[in-house]
Amino acid sequence: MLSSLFGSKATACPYCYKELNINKIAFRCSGRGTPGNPTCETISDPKRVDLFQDTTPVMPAIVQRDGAGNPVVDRHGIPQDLLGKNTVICTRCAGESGVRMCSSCHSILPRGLDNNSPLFGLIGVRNSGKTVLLSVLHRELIQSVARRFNASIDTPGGASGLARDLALFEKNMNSQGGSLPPQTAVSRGEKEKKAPAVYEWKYNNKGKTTSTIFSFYDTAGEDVSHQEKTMTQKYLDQASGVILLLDPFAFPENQDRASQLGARSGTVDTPESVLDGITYVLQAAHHVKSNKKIKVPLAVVISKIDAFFDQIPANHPLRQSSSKDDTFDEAESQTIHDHVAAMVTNWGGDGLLRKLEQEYSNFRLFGVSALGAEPDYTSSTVNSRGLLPHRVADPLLWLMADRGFIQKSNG
Amino acid sequence: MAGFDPKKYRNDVLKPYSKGEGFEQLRDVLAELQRDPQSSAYARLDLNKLYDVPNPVTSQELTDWRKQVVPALNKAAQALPSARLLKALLETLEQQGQALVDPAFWGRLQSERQKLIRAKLEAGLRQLTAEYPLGVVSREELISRLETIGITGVTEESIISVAEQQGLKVYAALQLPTTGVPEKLKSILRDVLRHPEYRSVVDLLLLHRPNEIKDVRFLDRLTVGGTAVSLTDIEDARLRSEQGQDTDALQDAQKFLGAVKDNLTAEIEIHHLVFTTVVELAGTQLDRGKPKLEVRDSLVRLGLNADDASRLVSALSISTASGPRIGVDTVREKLSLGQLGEAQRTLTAISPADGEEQDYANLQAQIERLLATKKQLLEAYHLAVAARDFPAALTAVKEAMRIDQADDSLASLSDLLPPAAPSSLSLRADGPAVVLSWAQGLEESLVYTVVRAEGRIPKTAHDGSVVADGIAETRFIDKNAPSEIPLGYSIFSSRAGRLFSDPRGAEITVLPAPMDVVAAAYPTGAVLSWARPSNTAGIVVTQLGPDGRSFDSELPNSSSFRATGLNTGASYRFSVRAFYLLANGRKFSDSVSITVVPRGEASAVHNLSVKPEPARGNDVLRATWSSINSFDVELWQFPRLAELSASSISAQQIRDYGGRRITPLPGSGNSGGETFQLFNPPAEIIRLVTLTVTDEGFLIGNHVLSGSAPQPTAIVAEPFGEDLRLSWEWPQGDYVMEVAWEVNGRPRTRRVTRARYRAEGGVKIGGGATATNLTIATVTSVDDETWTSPPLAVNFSQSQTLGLRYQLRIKRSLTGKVKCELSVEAESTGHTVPATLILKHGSIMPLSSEDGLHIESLSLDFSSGTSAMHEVTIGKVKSPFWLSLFADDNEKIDLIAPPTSQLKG
Repeated sequence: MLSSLFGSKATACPYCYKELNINKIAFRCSGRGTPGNPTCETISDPKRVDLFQDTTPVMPAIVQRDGAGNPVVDRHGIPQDLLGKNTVICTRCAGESGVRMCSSCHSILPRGLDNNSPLFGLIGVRNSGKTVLLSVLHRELIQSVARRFNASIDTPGGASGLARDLALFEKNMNSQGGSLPPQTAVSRGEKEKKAPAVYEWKYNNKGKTTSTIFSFYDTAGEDVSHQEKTMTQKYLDQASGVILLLDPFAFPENQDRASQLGARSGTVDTPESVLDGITYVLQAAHHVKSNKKIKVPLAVVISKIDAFFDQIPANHPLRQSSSKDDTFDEAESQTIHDHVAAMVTNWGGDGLLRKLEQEYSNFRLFGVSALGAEPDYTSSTVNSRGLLPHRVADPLLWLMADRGFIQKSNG
Repeated sequence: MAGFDPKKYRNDVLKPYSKGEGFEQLRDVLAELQRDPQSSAYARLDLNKLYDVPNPVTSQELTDWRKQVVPALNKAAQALPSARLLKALLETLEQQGQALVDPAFWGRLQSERQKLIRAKLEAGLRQLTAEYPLGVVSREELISRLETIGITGVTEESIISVAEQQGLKVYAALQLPTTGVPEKLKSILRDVLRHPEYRSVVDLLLLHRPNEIKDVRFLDRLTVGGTAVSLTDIEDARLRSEQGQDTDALQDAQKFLGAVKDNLTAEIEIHHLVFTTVVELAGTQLDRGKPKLEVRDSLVRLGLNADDASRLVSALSISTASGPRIGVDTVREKLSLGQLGEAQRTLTAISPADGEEQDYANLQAQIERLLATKKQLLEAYHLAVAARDFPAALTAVKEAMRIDQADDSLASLSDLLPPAAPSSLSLRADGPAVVLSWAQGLEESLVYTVVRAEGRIPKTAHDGSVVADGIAETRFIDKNAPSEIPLGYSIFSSRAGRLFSDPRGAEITVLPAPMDVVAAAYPTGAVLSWARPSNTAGIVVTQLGPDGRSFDSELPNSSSFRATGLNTGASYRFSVRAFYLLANGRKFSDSVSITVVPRGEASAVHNLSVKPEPARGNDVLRATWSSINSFDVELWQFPRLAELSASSISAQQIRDYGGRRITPLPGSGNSGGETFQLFNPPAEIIRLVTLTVTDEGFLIGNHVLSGSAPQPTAIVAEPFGEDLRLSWEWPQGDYVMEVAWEVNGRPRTRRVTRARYRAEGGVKIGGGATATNLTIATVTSVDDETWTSPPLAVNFSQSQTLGLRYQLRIKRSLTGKVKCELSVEAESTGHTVPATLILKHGSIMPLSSEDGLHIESLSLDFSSGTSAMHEVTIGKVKSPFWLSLFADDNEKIDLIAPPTSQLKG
């Protein structure tokens, strides 16, 4: 997808979502040095401090130098990185380095990153359960999904940023009397961006290791509530796929049920208004003409679906366990899509479905539950029976299958 | 001139001079002027101050002043008497023709006033000097006295100069010490000053400089010949005391100086010691009514500076003069405090005031009576001592001390008395030893001497063998006491081994009992053995049976006894005594007893089992084991982690391990060689153990885990298609859950750890939607042992409906007409199911039979088979559309739709 957007040599950094030419990237000194030259030592990287408030001492970035050995700076006085493809020679210690990093944010790039690495965005209104879903998805990915697809799914470079937070949230939820994650803070521009959760999915394909990188960014609900705020979500410009999380209690016919359960409606935004916001951004970012549909795949996920299990029989497709095969069951997914569409219509969400039909050429409906059982809304704690997730990974698997990374089957 | 300020004038002048000495002087002057209008008596007054006229002053200032002062006086005249007098004085002066607005008048007035003051000061001091025979006065007191005779506005320097010319020395007021001689030095100082060699504490502190003790300053600083008395002086004085000829006085001085060295660490403390000592000395003399001059001279005779002595006596005179007068009340008070001697001396020193003559006489008589009583008591004391009636002597001297507590000699007499004899002496034999015990004496620090003699009770501390000396305990064991001989013991109290009390004695004859008595039982008898004491004439064994009958066996030379014909399992008690042939006949030792139960070899239980009592469900448990003949077996519980690997255990070890005996419930007993015990299930997992009770301890049988483990709660079983998801709230603690179920009659179990539960999001049972007998049990493991709680049944609503699955195939002919083929499969036969085929236009599938167009009602016939086929022609329908089949009775029929791709047209 991205290759088609930026050409064969372009992708986006999974950490800062800035355009990235994989053949012209920056490097960090390896620290090997060479005899007769001063050895480079670790320091805080000003770019990482500026973007992610990350003051961890790291080996310095390799910069361009003039004939006198002084760094070449741009008009703002910022040293210019020395760009290369696979390796460069450090201009200070003369040691060779293959430590690739993004020239925009100076994050180390995973080895598996190529021009086909997808970026997925997760958006949804306040209280739709984005952080809870991502936290449970984090565990599902590295455990049951990895097992199902005989893959290794990990966070390259160790857990940091959002990935670390998600692991912590999941641990907290799974402990005795587990507490739900706090509300995600509203971003205040680029300066307060937190590094997204980046995953590397590796599997064995005919004796060779194939891998892809994908990343998630957790958006505060308030950031997508309004069109102008949604516009500031730069990552949507580069998104290869978007997961739109909708709170079922936000649909008109479910308001009474929400009140009975004590679930916070949390927002005055309707599912349609959220969809309008993201549609506008995607149309602008991907230069979609007014008479065309958006091609970026959109997974529309109805969260907290366990709250409606009492309305559907045990044999209903929504209550079936996920397939255990190592392929994505397209027929099963389509069936669920149709049943969810019928339920959404029944909840008064037919307007949403019409907008989806009109604006998106590729979207799919899902019904998932990250908690699996009703939490205690007053104390913000997980149900005493623990986390009982249901079909949490389906939207991601659909996006991955849609990109051809995993195989599809038809039942 | 800052100008006349009426308000300030009123506050600073008119108000103060409206009362007191100032007013009196003003009034006197005015009275004199009224008698003689031309008098210059006004010159005695400080008119500049009284009229607020500065010095020097100008004519203009005086003119302005004159305009303001009269209104100010008029205004204040109503409230302040001084204003009226000053106004009258002003008028008198003007009548005299004095030019009040002329600066010369005020200059002349000042000059005249200085002369008058000087003359008055000299006259006043001449009068006052007579009132201070000691020739010293404090500055504050002198100024105060001069003010009473109108001498004010004179500088202190002038007053002191004139006073000294008159022979009166002026000092700052003396601050008397508020604390006395340090407590630790008080008694030592009192003792040493009894010796006539030392006149005062100064003689002691300067023992090494006796010739320099004169003119010693002691008020502001302690100096001799102008140099301060230092700590070095104390050390030198102490060394001198060690070098002199040894006398009681010098010993006491040495003791005092040592105490001073130990307790006083700074020169200021030495100064304080001397100061307070002299204050007490002078104060006592003044209290007795000694003239001040005599007291001062007595201090000077001690080597103290005359001025310091005068100042001190003067200050003490003032302080005592302001206190209560020494009189008969003082004597009465001293008598009440038990200070007979002081009371006698004080009474001698005072003369009865008017009206106190009778009191004086009564006190005199009382003192004489008390002195006589004291004398009688002392005589009684001496008589009692001579008669060795020490308690009576002590009573007499104590009574004398009560009358005259200040007489230290009485305390010495008390100390000369020996302590009381010990009381409550008891003797008993403990094997070959004798144990003596007695009561603690009333006095502290008593020690005791134990004396032993053969055939008699010792009368003195040297009348026999001293077996213990100087012991503070009130118990002693004489391990070397000869046996078979009458022994006499006496206990003496003493104070540090001096002055022994009278003896407290008792007699005993030691007859050692047999030792190391043991018994070995067998099923119908027992063998007793013991160690025979030497010199015993024989042993008597008394056997007491379970029926209460007893009989003796006398064994002259044996060290063992075999009892036969005993009943197995019955309890027998054997008492073993030695007997001795003494001069006074045959005597028995104390007996040693042992209990014996004849029986075979004990063994542990190896087949303990625990099950719920069938008749009482899980509320009561039943422990069963094979009975052990002739031995009691008890059921005990221990913590589940208790290490019970040994074969036997002692009662102490049971306690250490936290063992607790299980209380049997009614219904427990024996049957067919088995013992069974009913008991309440413990609230936690515990280790049950059978303990076989033997004479030596307990034999440990096999043990099993039992009890109750916390159960999972909030159990939910939810069908997900054909699968079942089971979830629950885990109990606190390290437990594993065992899930059990049956599918088609085949039992299945799965053990689930907490980690696996979390990883899988509950327990998912494939095909479990049709499972039966679903249970959960709590499992706990200790080492290799596993204990599983009674299973908890899990109820979940299984589908009671008939399951149908249908397939639908939509066909569109070339003409655009649509028809569909329906194929429905049932789980079982014998049913006919009415259903409706629904058509819905659009992209959203229908949710119910009401959500679309009714196409056709079908009767699905499964009366003879499980399949039903239908073909329905629909006609022309525009895409997109949906065809769906709905059972008419949703409550009874579970119609499962095919993948939605089949339903879309």
